[in-house]
Amino acid sequence: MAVIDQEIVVITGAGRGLGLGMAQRFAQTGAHVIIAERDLALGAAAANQLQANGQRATFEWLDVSVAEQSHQLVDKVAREHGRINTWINNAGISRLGAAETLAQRDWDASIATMLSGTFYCCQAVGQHMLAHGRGVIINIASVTGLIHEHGRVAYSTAKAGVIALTEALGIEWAKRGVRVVGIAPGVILTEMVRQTVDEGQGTLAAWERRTPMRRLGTVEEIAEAALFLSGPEASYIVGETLRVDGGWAAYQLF
Amino acid sequence: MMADLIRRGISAAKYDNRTPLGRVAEVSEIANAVLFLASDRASYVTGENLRVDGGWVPWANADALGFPEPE
Repeated sequence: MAVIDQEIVVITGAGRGLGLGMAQRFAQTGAHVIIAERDLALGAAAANQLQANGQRATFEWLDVSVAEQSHQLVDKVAREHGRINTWINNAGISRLGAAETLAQRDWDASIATMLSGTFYCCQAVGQHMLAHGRGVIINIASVTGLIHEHGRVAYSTAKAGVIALTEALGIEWAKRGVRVVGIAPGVILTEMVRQTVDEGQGTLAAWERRTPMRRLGTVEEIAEAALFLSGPEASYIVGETLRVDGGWAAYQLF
Repeated sequence: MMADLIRRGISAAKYDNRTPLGRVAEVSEIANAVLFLASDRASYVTGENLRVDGGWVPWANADALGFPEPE
């Protein structure tokens, strides 16, 4: 039997890492979570895992860098569930390298996935939400979009763009019932961070020392922030990107 | 504070119109943010100033300057 007022939550890149953590947290609240993921195996496994816990989840294949796919997914979810309450733009990739020699394909892929992909999804789901006069969009940015590190020019620029996009859409749609907000995570222990370590571009110990809280963040801590921002408690928060970074961005080293 | 401004002849509508969300905040909306930040739910949030402003800060609102009257 369908739950009458069940929340429908779509999360991009939910096959692993932050996306999966947010999917688990929202599913715990009874929401039906759409795992929108480019990697077929990861996406299917994530949905199966939630279903095995008795939670509601569906896997949908989505490559956010193809605008048309976002529109098709919005149409499909709207058709099957009648609404989309929250959409979280989380899909991201890490392409590291010195700025002067970064391959064009790495730059293009970073911007296409994290900046253009976020915009395409916002536009697609925004049309649906504006038509219904309600909805929340949460864009996952990064502290790297605020203060920068060597070798991350593509990631930083894409994430800075996401913060600007969140502000621009936030003010444009606020009066029409659609809140657009963001989260800027600090260093969180995910597969992406492990990959960075494997590539020799950082160590966990160094990041811990760099963080005023002296520890990395957890996936659960980001998920909790997303849950807060998606709900009525955050009804006056618009265009804002909440830093969940253990003090990272507020701290200047000498 | 708001009541004081209204007593001084500044209309609440002026603030409503300057806010992208189209209205001033309820006290409870600030309280809810305080409650979140004070709780274990915000355990990795520190040194952060969370804007609860209905979109006030990132809006340029250039239209407020108005356009010249047509001749």
